[in-house]
Amino acid sequence: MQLILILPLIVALVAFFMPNKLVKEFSLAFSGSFFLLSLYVLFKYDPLNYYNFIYYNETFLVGTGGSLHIGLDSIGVMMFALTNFVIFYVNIMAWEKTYTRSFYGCVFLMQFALIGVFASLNAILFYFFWELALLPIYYIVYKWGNGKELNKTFVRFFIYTFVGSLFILAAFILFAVETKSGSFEITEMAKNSLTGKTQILYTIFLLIGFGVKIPIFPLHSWQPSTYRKAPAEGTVLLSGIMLKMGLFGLLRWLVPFQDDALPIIQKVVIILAIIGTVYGAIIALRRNDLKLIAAFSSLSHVGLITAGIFAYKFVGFQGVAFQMLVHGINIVGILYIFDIIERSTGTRYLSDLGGISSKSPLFSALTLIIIIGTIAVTPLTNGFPGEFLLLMSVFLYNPILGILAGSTIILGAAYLLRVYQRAFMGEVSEHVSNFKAVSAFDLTALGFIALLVLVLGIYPQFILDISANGSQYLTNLLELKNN
Amino acid sequence: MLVILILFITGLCTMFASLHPNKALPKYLGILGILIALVTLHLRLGLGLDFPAFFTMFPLTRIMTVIALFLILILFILQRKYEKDYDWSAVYSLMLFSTCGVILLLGQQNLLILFLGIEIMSIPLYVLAASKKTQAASLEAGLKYFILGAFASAFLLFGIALVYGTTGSFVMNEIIHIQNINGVQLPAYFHIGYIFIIIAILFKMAVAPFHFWSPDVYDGSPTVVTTFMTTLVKLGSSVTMYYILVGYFRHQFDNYFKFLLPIICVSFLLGAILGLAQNNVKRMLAYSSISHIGFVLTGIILGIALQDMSLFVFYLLTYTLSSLIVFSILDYIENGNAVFLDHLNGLSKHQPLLAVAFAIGILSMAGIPFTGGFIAKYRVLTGIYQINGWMFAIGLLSSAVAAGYYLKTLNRIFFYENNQENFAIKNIYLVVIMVILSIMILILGTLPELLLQGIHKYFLA
Repeated sequence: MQLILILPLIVALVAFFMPNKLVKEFSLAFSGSFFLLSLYVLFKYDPLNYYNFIYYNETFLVGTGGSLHIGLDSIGVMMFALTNFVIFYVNIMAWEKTYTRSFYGCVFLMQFALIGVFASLNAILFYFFWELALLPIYYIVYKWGNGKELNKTFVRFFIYTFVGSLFILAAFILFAVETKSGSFEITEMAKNSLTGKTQILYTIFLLIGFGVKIPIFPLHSWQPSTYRKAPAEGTVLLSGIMLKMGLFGLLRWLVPFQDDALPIIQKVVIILAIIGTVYGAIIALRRNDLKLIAAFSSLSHVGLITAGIFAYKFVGFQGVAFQMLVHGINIVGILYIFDIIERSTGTRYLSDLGGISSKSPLFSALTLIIIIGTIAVTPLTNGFPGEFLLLMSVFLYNPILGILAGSTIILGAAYLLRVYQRAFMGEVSEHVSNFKAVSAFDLTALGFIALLVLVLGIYPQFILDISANGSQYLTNLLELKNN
Repeated sequence: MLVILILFITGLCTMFASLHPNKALPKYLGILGILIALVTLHLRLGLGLDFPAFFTMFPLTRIMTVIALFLILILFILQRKYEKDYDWSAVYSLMLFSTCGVILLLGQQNLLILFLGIEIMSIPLYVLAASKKTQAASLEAGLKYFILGAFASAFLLFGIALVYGTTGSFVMNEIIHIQNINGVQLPAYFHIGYIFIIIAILFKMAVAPFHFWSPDVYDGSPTVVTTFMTTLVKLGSSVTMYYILVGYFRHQFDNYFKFLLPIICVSFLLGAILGLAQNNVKRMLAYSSISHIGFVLTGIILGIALQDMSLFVFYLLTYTLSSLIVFSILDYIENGNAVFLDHLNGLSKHQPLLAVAFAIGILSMAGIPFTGGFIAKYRVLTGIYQINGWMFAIGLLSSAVAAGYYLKTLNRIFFYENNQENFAIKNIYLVVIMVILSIMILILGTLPELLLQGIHKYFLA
């Protein structure tokens, strides 16, 4: 079964050398079958067997402390499924466009790297995959991005992410040298503990490194312009799955090593995260560009997830795991909708839109379901359980912060319903008047997302059962170390 | 020693062969000579010709000699240009003579041989740097290199004289032995002499602040010669530095570490920051090489402190490999004498395989995972952290800054449009060799143990 992890690399190499005509069908078929395969892995997950049936340990990179130690634990297996889902939808979105083979090769290379990030149980291996995941996205953003000053945006994106990953490397070297173990295996690392100044440095380095990717509030300035200028598929990759790399990194490489939990850093991070949550929502209220709204909405949601991680509670971890998955699904849906609007009307500015619902009622209905799922205010949609658990964990940590964080639900409803009202309701605008009919292909794909919104909203227990294992592990570890 | 003799005779033969009207003859003669040298090295012929007090084939010498011979072989194979104003036939023999000097340095056991090696390596290089006679920049490079090189040689000789004066010996082992005798207090001249020798080699390695010649010389020289300088000359001078430091350093580690620490830190930063401002690719890579040689020097010091030679051997190997790729492709792109960033535009459209090989070389220089450069840099950085935290931070910072200019070249290649007419020229040898070399870099990056163990097994048996 370990072959699942290496398959995307083989497909990527094939895609790089395929003729441009065939590559689209080839990629869609393979990404679809990977998605089905990952659903199988998800359903087969056995809570009694912690690292699942995909586990492998072999020597690798001798002389650097690296090893080929991979395994999908409970949260990892969810992220694995999400990766395959997002890659599948990237291929679906690219169906109507003309991309060359190098795009598809990059996408599959990225899939390989992302799965590696979620499966690595060795810090150096993790860093390898982390860097590998960045290279294709640089290529996609720069090659197929558009807009003024793309170069400037790209350089800013590159500097932020590259410096961030060097911080991660520095933190790992720090850990291995200071604990005198020289080991980068997570199982070995969990036995050792850092103390005093070194622990503060380790925590801060990782917070910066992962915080750039998430992004945590003061490190977010690369995000809006990159989301805006990247091609729609690039934005989906960035917000749908790459941001989860940062959150997952915090869960796996930072939380287990918080011995005395560093109360000051915990407090600072939660406050920053909640500032980001509220700030993102408020900015999103005033934006005109749909992609920017998606960017700031992403910032807002992710802030709450970060706060949930640092509350160090069982409910918090449950909420984090659930919301990571759900945010991935919903943001893909939202960006897909925005992409369809842009393709059909030629604009993605809110001021140019209006009255889409009269042109395409089914499309509008599906949009409404996905938007309500993202708002997270209504039970029976998938956003609700995760958001509820996260808010509860923050509230348990500090009621005032909990109340502040809760305001995002109202703000979220405001900005997303504003989008719906401006774009879909009201009079038909000039741009919308020659609205191209949404194809059955797109509607089916959107319909599947809407279905997921409802299914996960009605029966979240399926996912929560899987993630309970990982959350319990983290909670136990923290309690053990604190007592 | 037999290898050096064979190369020297080959050099003489190619020199006379260049009188022959067939301009390709020297090249094939040179390749033949190098292959014979490789075979003798493999069969371990002529071991009796070594003089223990002068020149010895250590395992390290063997490894490095093989690498040096492969490098020069690739350089020879790739040469296909026959320009009117540039007589290439003399270049082959000069390169072979210079290689003799490099190999002499790789096994030197004696300060006299050190001096001889440095001179034999450098004098052909002065001529080579100025070999594009019609270009003012090339002549300037040759003159500058010659004057500053002569200056460094003076330092070297002065240092050797002082060491000889205080110890009465030229032989490395004896010099080390004298220090080890209890109760012997060597005069201060001895240390001064040693520092002079170190400075002269630092100059040849082009470590800041002894680097001022390198951007001009790299830029002005023909690209083949620049490739020769970044690969073989770096190899020879770095190994010499290792020999000079290894015996001596162990006793005076703290003192000499204090002397070399600022030099290394300045090299890291200078190489990274000044490279950012360059528009000329060869100058940019000259600055990048300053930064890399800083890492090599650190690797040497760490290798001595931690008793692990593979640190710097691995770094040197990956660096020479990636710079061989990058400079060979620059040689292909070269338009006139200087290669500016604009000349790289749109390479990926016309020569996708070359573009990918170039990218792998550059990524290896930048230290991105999955390339040999990452493993090398990572190992050195982990070592630095154990010795000095601040130096570790500076090293990391310099690689972050340097990534900025590496990225610039990649942007040009992949995202800019341009139709350079010389991109249309097909060069199958170049493509094949570059692809093989870039795969080697990837193998070094993913399975480093394979190569290291292989080398150990083959050479230490």
